[in-house]
Amino acid sequence: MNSYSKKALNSLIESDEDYNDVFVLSGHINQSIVGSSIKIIENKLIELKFSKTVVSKAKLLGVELMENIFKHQSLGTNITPYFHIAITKKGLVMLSGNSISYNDYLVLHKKLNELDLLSKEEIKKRYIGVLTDGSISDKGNAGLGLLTIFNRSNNKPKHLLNKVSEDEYYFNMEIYLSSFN
Amino acid sequence: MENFIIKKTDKTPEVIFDFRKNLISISGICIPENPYDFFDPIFKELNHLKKSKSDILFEIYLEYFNTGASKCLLNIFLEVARVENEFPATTVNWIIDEGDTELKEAGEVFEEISKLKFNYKEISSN
Repeated sequence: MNSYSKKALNSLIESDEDYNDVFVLSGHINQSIVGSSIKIIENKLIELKFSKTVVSKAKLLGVELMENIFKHQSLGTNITPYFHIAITKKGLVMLSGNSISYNDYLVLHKKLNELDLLSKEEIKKRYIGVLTDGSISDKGNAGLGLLTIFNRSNNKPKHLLNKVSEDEYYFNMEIYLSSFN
Repeated sequence: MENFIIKKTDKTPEVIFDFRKNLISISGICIPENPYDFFDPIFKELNHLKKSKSDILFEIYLEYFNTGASKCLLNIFLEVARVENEFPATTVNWIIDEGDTELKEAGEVFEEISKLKFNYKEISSN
């Protein structure tokens, strides 16, 4: 684990004696790892007796978060990404982090600021708009991944962009899925 | 005409075009790394169905999917809705596990945008 992910996670863990890991992934992520991870997450959440709805939400959000990591992660960085699911005093949460380029930071910072100002209904409307009119490629999906995350989350995702250097930032997200099962 | 089948993998669903019944079935996990490459043959087969000018029934039962797949799925629904005179009465059976409101809502978004008739069928996993 790197210092940026430790900082983000420790602030959550230290404030919450109920923190319990459900799934922890750190390091390189590719599409095969996404599929395998989702299978493990599904089995664990079923074992913990979460509802079908929560399990589906976790799978759909997990795919987006992990795919966002491997599509947008900076190349040549030593700072590894992470993806966790944990139970906290708030309920079931997902946490992710990955380094991004300065150019990606500028785009992401702007998008996050815009989304933070929107209501749930406005986010859904924007999601439908981009789903209908946006285009996708192997480099990205016109911001649809980030919109999907905001649209599917129960509350607005928390996010943090930490500067690593002039060319690199570290992007952390915390997403609340559900209260306790 | 023989059925068109794409076998399922750990990242992509099974797809069956049953031309005798005008049925298109898509089931499984749908997280293709390159969604356009995966869905391109499906669009091509859809063009064959246009010649029949008959009702189409979709049966969709997905475990989960990524945004690329959701975009391509929506494009299929929009294409069918766009050429109403070639697909006069298309119905989508959106199949979900009992109690899964998350995937039901995903279907409702496709229904809202495409204006196709969606039936929501819950199946018990027990």
